Amino acid sequence: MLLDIENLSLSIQAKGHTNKILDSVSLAVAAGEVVGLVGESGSGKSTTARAVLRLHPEGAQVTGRIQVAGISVLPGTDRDLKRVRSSEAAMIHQDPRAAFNPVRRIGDSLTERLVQVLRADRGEAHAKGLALLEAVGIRQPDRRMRQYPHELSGGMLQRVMIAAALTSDPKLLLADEATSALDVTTQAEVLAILRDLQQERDLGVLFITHDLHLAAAYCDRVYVMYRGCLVEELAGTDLFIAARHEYTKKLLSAVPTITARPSTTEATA
Amino acid sequence: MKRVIYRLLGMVLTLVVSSFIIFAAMYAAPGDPVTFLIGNPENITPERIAEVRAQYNLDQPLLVQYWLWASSAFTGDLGVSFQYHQGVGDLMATRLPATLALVALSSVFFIVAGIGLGILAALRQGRRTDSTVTAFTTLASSVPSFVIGLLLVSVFAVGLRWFPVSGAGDGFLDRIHHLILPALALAVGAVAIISRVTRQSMVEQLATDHVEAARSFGLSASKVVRRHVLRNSWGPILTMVALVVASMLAGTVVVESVFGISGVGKLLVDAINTHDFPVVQAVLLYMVVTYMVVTTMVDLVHPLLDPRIKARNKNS
Ligand SMILES: Nc1ncnc2c1ncn2[C@@H]1O[C@H](COP(=O)(O)OP(=O)(O)OP(=O)(O)O)[C@@H](O)[C@H]1O
Ligand SMILES: [Mg+2]
Repeated sequence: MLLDIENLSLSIQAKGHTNKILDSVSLAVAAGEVVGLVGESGSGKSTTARAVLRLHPEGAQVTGRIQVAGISVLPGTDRDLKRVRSSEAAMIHQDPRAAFNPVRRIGDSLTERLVQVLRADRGEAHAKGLALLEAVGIRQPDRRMRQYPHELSGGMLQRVMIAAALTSDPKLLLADEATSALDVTTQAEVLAILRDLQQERDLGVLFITHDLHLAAAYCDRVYVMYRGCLVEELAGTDLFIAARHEYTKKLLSAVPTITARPSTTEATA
Repeated sequence: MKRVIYRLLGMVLTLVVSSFIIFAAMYAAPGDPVTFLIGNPENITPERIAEVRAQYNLDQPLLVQYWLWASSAFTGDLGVSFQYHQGVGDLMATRLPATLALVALSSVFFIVAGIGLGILAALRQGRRTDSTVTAFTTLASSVPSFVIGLLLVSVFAVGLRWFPVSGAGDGFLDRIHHLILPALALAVGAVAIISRVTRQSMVEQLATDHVEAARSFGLSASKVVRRHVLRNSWGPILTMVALVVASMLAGTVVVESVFGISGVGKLLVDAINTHDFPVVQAVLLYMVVTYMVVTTMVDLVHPLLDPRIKARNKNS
């Protein structure tokens, strides 16, 4: 398994009492597989994805096992953690405008992982950055590299973030609401690009979303999370027809229509 | 371009208004400089008074006097000191180096200590080190600088004899040796301000998404701090440093008195005590100008630190 989470529990001590945020979460993502993680707000989706890179809040108590490409993150040494963070996995954040340092040039942010973490040659990193910007459909990549985040649109920044995530050729992508901040058309374009690259590179993707239609259309498998527990696991295509758990049914019934699929899914199909 | 012009106009206006206020304040100040100018009380006769008033243009209306003073000040002629009978410009030139050296050395101290402690507190946020730094710097800043000065003198100059008791020294190394204690006394109050701004600014940056993003791809903790947290905190830190330096340039009086340094601050106090109006006016004008220069420099440097400011300026 590319990503293997076993019995992950996480709790935070707050004012005397313990807040249980994740409760025995076990999930897996294979290479080349897109796995969805859905659930209401506050159910613990982001916390799960962040735990994969050991980015949980300070003072949190974490138990369980997490492995990425055979390297143990939990429990794990700092060296293994750094290896996973820099080379094996990459996170695509929800808000592209906030995820880039506003005072650094795009090119600098794009190649930071290669140059500052993996100690790659600056020229080579630059060339690779350019190629990846082209791969995510950005025109005039040379000019974009010299610009600052505030000079680019949200959709463009999200593509740059995908390019930045791929600079170190990771095997696993953690996409936490990667397209929720974008308008519908841009969302469709970005999802299509992500799909192409995922297939081309045989990437495993943990795809967190609120959008159940999107999850059904985009993901091979979908996990449903409720209050820190995984309550159901379904094939993407079965999400709307085979759900058994009460919570999943409730979630699905809250979705407006089943037949009218949003344009996002058509664009990616 | 428009901004630059507005900026320059604003500076000229500030200068005109503040110089007029300075001048008018002198005009309205209690005590007649004439008696001082004449000196020996036995010489005070109505004729002598009229003569002196005419000589120093004191018989002219306020606006005329201001115009005479301001126009010659503009050409660099700040008048003649009543007390020393010496050009005010020359007088300032002999006093300025000591004050500038004092403020420069003090700035090095408070910048290094303030930013250093601020970084420490931010990185240990909420722990014991954090509260210790805050408590320590706040306490230190509440002690008046002359008390700190006297304390430093009695321990390190009189007691241990490591440093001279007073004076500003000659030559580079001797000057630094003389100015270390006064510079420390001057710096202590500013450390709390700078460390607080540094801490606050960094704490805000530490919580941002791009800092977490940098962590998420394995950037080492020290590089995260240098390349993201500290890098993005410079704006507020720089502004505060500049404000403190500007106020220091105008506020060396107490420390100069304690350490017997004949700088601009001491010149001002002596001039006030002796009704030496041209000198008082010139020193106050110098304070306004240095303040303007420092704040203008900050405004010029800011866009270099944050490209978003440049964009905003262009749009407005
Ligand atoms: N640093 C933290 N300290 C305390 N509680 C936290 C912290 N981070 C998250 N939580 C809590 O953990 C729970 C799960 O949060 P999480 O962000 O993982 O939810 P989510 O499923 O991603 O929600 P959303 O769909 O809104 O993004 C929430 O109840 C939240 O309040
Ligand atoms: Mg979330």
